[in-house]
Amino acid sequence: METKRRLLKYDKSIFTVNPELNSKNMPMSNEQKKSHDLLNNFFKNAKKKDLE
Amino acid sequence: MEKPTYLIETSEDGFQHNFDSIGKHKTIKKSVRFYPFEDNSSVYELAFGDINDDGTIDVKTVSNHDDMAIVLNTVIQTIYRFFELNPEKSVAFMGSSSSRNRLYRAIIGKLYDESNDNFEILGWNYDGTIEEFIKNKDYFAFQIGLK
Repeated sequence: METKRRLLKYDKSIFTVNPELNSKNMPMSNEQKKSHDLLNNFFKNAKKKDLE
Repeated sequence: MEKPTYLIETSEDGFQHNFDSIGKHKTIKKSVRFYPFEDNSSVYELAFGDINDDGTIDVKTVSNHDDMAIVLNTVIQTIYRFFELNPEKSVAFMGSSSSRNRLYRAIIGKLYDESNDNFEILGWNYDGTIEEFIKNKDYFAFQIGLK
């Protein structure tokens, strides 16, 4: 995992951590929930072609 | 060469990123969020859009703000940060409208051109199959992870 992290170069200076933001505070609209469920179902049933 | 981006407020876990898209006449608050799939917690959906008053995001509208290139670069930066904090995860996304599709295709195209050595990019076909991403091919959705 550390190898992967080292490969990524991006501009960290543009990010400021806001402690009020977190993954438990990300409400979804009905519209968004529909597309999320669509993607989730697709992935659940998908078949991978020629991927080793 | 540095590319223009907006400043981003981010969550510590890298799952939520907010920024202001600044136009000539108004500022629009936007968010990039990563939601886990219920059936596979190693895959996250990238959702992006204007922040609504109730805290949800509008996943369909693309604001015509003459700052598409800056927004694109900013979203890409959030993807890099997500992978730095969550290197074992992968991210899937699809456009819920034709304009949004164009935006996501542009993101994938940029990542493919700039960082193909770092990323494994997959295309989700409309027939329910997943394959290695082919540039300029039309896909139902995209998936990206670190190699």
